[in-house]
Amino acid sequence: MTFLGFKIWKVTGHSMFPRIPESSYVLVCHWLKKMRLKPEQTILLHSQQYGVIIKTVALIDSNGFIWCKGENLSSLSVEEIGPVSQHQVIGRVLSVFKK
Amino acid sequence: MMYQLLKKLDYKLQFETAAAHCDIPCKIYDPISAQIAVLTMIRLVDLLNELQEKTPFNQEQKVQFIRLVAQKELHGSKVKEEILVIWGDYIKEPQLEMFPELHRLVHNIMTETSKAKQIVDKEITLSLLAKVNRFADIFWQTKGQSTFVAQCPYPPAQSLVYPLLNS
Repeated sequence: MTFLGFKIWKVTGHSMFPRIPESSYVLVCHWLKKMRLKPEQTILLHSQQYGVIIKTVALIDSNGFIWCKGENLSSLSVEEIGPVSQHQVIGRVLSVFKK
Repeated sequence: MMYQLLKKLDYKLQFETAAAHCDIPCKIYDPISAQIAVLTMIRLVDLLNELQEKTPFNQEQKVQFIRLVAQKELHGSKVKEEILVIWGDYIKEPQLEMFPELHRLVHNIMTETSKAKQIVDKEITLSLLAKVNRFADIFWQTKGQSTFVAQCPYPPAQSLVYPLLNS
């Protein structure tokens, strides 16, 4: 359910721990994706291989591709996730609600 | 407090989920790896057939032949492994009820992959691709994803089943 471009998502998996533990909820702003992303911002993106995933921006390369990372060693690596184009970004995480 | 409120709302509204993928129990399943492995086998068969025309082989061609055969073996094993992981870890009773052909299909993929490894025969690898594509189609249907067929934009330019994902 989206309200004014904001939406609550539930997080599954462990790769964003401890910043975002499993079963946390995140408030995502869908229109903020149009703003310039910066490293260390947390985003939701649509991966062809992995579906909707939540990751942290590691860097944005000179071609405008976004490279993402998890928050711990068990995460898929930056290389495994691969480059993400701007149109794959669903939104930017504004708040995290954890237990 | 906010978390408890969202949890109650989640119970009612069923929020969508975003995955924080990792290498623990990640639930990442995708038949594309198996499909690409079959494509590789087809490509290797094509290259082996091209090489066949150059017999007797010089030293370099002998090395090339060995490498092509070794890679065909490797990718055959990959097809089996990728399909078996999805079949063993993901396919459960609800999927089997939807698609009773699954066990037989997986078994046919196993035997046909063995055959494709044993000999250099394009027809067999193409038949294997059709079966793996059918497996991919079933997989995506069980995920509620519709699929489409497109020709892969690289050799061996065969048709592949892809999920139709929304951006």
